[in-house]
Amino acid sequence: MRSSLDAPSVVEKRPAGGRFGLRLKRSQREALAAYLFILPDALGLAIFVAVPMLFSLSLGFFSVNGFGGFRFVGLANYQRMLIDPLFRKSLWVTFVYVLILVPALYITGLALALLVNRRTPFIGVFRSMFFLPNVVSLVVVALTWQVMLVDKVGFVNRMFQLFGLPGYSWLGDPNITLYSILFVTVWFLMGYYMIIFMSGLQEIPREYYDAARIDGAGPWAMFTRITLPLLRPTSFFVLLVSLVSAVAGSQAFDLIYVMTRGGPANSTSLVIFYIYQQAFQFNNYGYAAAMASFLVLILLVVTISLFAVTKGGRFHFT
Amino acid sequence: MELSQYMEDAAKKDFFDNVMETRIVDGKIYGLPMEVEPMAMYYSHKAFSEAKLSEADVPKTWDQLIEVSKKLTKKSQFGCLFETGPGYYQNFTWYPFLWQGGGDIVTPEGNKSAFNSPATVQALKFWQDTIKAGVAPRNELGFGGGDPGANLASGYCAIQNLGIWGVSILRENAKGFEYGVFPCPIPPNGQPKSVLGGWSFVANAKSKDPENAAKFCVWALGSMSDDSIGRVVDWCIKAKSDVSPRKSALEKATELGGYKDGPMKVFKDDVFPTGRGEPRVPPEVYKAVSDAVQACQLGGANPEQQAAEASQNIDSYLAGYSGAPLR
Repeated sequence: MRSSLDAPSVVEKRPAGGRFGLRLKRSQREALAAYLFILPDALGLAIFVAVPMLFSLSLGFFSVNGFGGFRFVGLANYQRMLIDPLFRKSLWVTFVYVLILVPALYITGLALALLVNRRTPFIGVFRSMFFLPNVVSLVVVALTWQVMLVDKVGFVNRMFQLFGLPGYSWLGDPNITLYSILFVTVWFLMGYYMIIFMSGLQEIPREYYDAARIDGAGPWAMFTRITLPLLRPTSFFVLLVSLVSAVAGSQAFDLIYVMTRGGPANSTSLVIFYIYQQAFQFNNYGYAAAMASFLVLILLVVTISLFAVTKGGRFHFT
Repeated sequence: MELSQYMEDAAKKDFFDNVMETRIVDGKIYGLPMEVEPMAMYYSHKAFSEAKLSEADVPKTWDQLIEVSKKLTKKSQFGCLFETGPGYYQNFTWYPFLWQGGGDIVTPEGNKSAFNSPATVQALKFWQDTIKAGVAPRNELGFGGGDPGANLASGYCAIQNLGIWGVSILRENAKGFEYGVFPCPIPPNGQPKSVLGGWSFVANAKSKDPENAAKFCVWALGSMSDDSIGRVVDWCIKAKSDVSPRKSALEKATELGGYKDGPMKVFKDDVFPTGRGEPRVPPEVYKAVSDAVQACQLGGANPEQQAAEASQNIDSYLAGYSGAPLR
């Protein structure tokens, strides 16, 4: 099969040697074109991601107070990590957060996608409604939920009162608050994963279901034998993206910064928040950088194992 | 950058001692305050009258506060409110209760922890008791415990632990809301204490032109000229609602009627004289105190254990500390 890349190009019609007097083979010219195409992105990644990462990595070996003083301390920051109970606590909080968030997003995203992946009137309205939280700033989301979840007079507790149930301190009880944050995160993100699952669902040929139905398969059998296996590439993408953003606390930071500031009693102090606190509240940039490097290491391990388990996210269907 | 080298003696003496104690190292002034913001308690007249309480019921002790708060607690209203969010601000609001019983974070020399004391334990327990009794909330509305409009005026709480800045916030955002102010209640055998907040001017000694920066601070807030004094007066009673950090400015602001009655008078006459500067402690010490307060207030932890643990953390940090003595 010929793809558009193989089509005779304008470049090809030029006399060999081209404007710069270079004699390139067709394959070399294509490679050059390809590299030129990735160059802008690669440059951006290098300047805004790779360089800061290297800088952060090396910062971890220094004691930096924020007033211009750099002192080489070797592995002292890493040693401190081992004995810092707050760091251990934040690792544990992150672990619980990830352990709940990733499956919760997978299940809600898929369930919503199945729900709205049908031709019924106004379905577009429902799809948009589920996706809507994503277009709102996370700070606005956090402030809104903060008011809704406040003790006694918040909307949620008022609803509880209406049904004669006791009120809870959703953001003030260390045993509950992390789950409240998780709830808001899922509410915010599920529409995004719904869209991804929908695109996956729409790629599954209708004929498979028709054939299965003729063979007498029920809805559950069709879901487990057709939908789930054929959604594997989508599932891989969803798991990978949600896992990485959960470990890195991409959404959690904004929510926690606004709603709890890591409290009550450090119960929502995720690693990402603790790193922020050490760097920007306590002026311990070196220590924060060391923890950030450790977090990157965790992310690498998680991502590599996911790739290994799923053979790089490539799936073969028979 | 030392600022006192550019100040006249009269100007140095013009600043109140309790305001300056945490801004002086080895007799040298490093920060010039533009305002003083003491902490006290605000109460809603409406909430009091609804609960058939009068000014005579204004609590003077911790126990009374909890009892009165029980009467003020309703289905949609808390009796009293103390800051619940972890941070420097929460610590700041908690210090008066620590000091009232004679407690402190560090010893007078400022190099060892003094945190593991009965005064710490009772102060930690007091805040915990307000939560356990169900009279205080575990979180707040608006921008937190420092926001009287969202919490006190809205009816979320009837009494709020708050600083003097609340006067101007209520004046601007809650017109017609009637309230009173009283000093923080004290424990048995305790002394009235408040903490003095407020911002200062400082000059960075490592900046490009530290000398002129320092001179600017002194010109703006710390000279004996009329405009320097007038600036402090305007800032404290016109732009904001604060106590003046300078004797001359306080006198002038009083003459202009800035403290003639109501909450401003209570703050100036009853609260400010019991005040002590906000402690200058490094983040590690702040965090140890904050974790103890949070664990006891909201986590229901054992105050004795938390005081001991925090004290240990403070001491292990101070063992390697070489900066200015803590105050």
